[in-house]
Amino acid sequence: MNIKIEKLTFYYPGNKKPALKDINIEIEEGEIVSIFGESGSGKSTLLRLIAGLEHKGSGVIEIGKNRVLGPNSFVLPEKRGVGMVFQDYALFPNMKVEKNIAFGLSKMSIGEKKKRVKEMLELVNLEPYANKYPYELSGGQQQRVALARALAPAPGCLLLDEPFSNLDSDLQVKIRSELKDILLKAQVTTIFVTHDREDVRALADRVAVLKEGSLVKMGKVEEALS
Amino acid sequence: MLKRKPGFYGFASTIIAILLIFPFGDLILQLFEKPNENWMEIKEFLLKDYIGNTLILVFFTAILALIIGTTLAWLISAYDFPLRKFFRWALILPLAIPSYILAYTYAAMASYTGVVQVTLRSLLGTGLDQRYFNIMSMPGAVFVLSLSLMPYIYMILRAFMEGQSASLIECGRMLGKSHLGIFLKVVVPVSRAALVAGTSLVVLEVLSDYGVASYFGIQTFSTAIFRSWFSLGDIDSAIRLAAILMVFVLVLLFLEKILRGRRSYSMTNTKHCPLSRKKLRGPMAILATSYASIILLLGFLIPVGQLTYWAILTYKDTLGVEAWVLSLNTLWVAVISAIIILVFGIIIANYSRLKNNFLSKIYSKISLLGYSIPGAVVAITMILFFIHLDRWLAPLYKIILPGAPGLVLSMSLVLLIGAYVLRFLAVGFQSIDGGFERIGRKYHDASKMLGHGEVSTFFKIDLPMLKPALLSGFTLVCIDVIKELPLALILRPFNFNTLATRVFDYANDERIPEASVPSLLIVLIVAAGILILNKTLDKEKNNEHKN
Repeated sequence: MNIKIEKLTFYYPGNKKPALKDINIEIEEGEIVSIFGESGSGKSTLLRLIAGLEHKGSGVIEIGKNRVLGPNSFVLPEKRGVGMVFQDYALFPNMKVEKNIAFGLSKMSIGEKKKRVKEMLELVNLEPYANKYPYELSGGQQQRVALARALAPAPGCLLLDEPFSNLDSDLQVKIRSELKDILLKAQVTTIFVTHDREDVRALADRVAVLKEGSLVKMGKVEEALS
Repeated sequence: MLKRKPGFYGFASTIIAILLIFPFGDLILQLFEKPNENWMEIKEFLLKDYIGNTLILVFFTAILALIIGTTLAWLISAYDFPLRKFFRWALILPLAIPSYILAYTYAAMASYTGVVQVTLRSLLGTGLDQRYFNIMSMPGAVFVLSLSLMPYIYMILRAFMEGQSASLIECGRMLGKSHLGIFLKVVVPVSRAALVAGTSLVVLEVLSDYGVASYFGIQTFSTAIFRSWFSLGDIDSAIRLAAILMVFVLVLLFLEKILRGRRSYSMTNTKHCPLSRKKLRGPMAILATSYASIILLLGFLIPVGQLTYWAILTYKDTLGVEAWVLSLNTLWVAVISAIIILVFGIIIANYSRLKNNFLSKIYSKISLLGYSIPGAVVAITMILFFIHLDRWLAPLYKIILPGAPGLVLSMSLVLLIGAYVLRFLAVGFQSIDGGFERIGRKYHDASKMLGHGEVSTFFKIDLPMLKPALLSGFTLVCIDVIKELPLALILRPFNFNTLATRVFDYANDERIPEASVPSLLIVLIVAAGILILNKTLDKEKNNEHKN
């Protein structure tokens, strides 16, 4: 699905300075776009607004043909059809891997659920780990479970919040290429937030550079990062 | 910009907060009435004694409990000695004996016919001179209250010290400080917030105490409130005394805030290396074990031993159907109160977690209010409020309960349970709030992103993850309600008794041995609760390490 953001401005309660100021971004279907910036630049806030986890923004956000934020509309996060991988994955510690992946599939029959969980485990190469708890997995494996969980309901778009920040630097290189393969296979519009140029170079088709809440550049990776 | 509806949690939290503060309106309004003659007399002749006695009792109990609690917490956290593992949890057990039961037991043991005097007379041919060794005195009350309340300080400090990084202590050692020097110059200052928190709890409990002061004949604010109300039938003076007592509490809370300062409660970080305990050998090991043994003996084993001996002598008369009825009454009042408290606590704590705005912070503070208010004040507040409520509802009673007495709610268990909810909501709320804080928002957000609504997320994600906090909160509230005396004594409906009120009745009739069976039942139930709690907390700690 394509994503359209128009004149998006956001203030945190009690702050006079906007966390995001007049942001305009358009993303094509199937594109992988990175939101790049230093900490405090507003990149995670932008992601949370697209997800619907923050709701006090003004402006417009459209996902596909669905206006999820506008002057008179706000669609709850659970109704947006958006998948998200959190910075620390947020895998439910009381559920095994397969239960975690099946959590977003409540509308499917038991048979359909099993089939979809199996597909997702294959996609992320974690079939032998279906019956493990999250704490029994390595950081990289946890990230893949989080990705499988977010992709399982076939979301219109996928949001990734600092996907590599919890991994050791050696592992980051390996996981980047794995993630790229998975995203290409899943063919899903993806927005990921990062402060690392290498992440952008390895994964993104285009990049939006944020600075102090404003969009300062948007374009092809090498152009925008230069 | 789109405004979202306040939602269920906001609406329900507002209703609960109003229910919690509304009763105090009556109490404040009564203060503006013209004082009666009785009050003028109390003000002129008695008030000074009430203030003096209360301050002495609070001050010396706090100091003694602080010394015992701090030294034990440091000993258990920093040293290894014989039976340390056993003492680590056993030193919490004095909390299982309500202070009024400890008072009756020690008073009877130290009396002329008690085990101490009889043994001394038979062994040495002489007893203790009652002029100097009278336990029913101010020092006796300090002794009893300190032993009974020191586990609050011990528990909070032990948890703090066990969570501390070893680096501070090791730094002290590298700089050539002795163990005593490290304790005084590093551990005590670093633990200041925990020390103040534990001591504040002790002070609030002493201000709330009625059983010990009343049995030992010490005129404190709590006993004076009861006397004005019951002996003199003067509710106006009782309200004024309650208001002054509240001023004490407010000053204390203000002092606590200043003394805690801006320091955070815990200075641990995730990468801390726990304190390695030093192994004690020879005389030092014997000394450490002896010290812990003496406190456990005085605070738990001796009184329980004495109660057991009396129970063996009297159980035929006291362990009948009535004992089971009393136990059931006590348990179900505790369980109902705890369930209501948990529901209220979940609503307010979840609202606070999800919104984290000015209003949610105010509601959290209101939830904590009741625990600072002494039982006698809560009792007066609730009874005034319920009498007004009954008058207001009178036309409704005429329709749905024709022929019923005018005071329906005031004469029912609703009043007592309402008072317990007001007084102990803080206990349940803090457990749940801590639980929510540990969980954070990420799992909630993740669930919502996976298409689950508020209700489904609560039951499938929040509730299962909150289980240990709920179990802790439930157990803590039940323990407090089961031990509680003043509220049960004043607000119980006619012919309704709990184990605590029966113990008080027996003790008031000077039938201390007969009080032993209900006392032991309280101790057994509470001790079981404490052990469950200890296990839950240890399990939670292990799970945290795993995750």
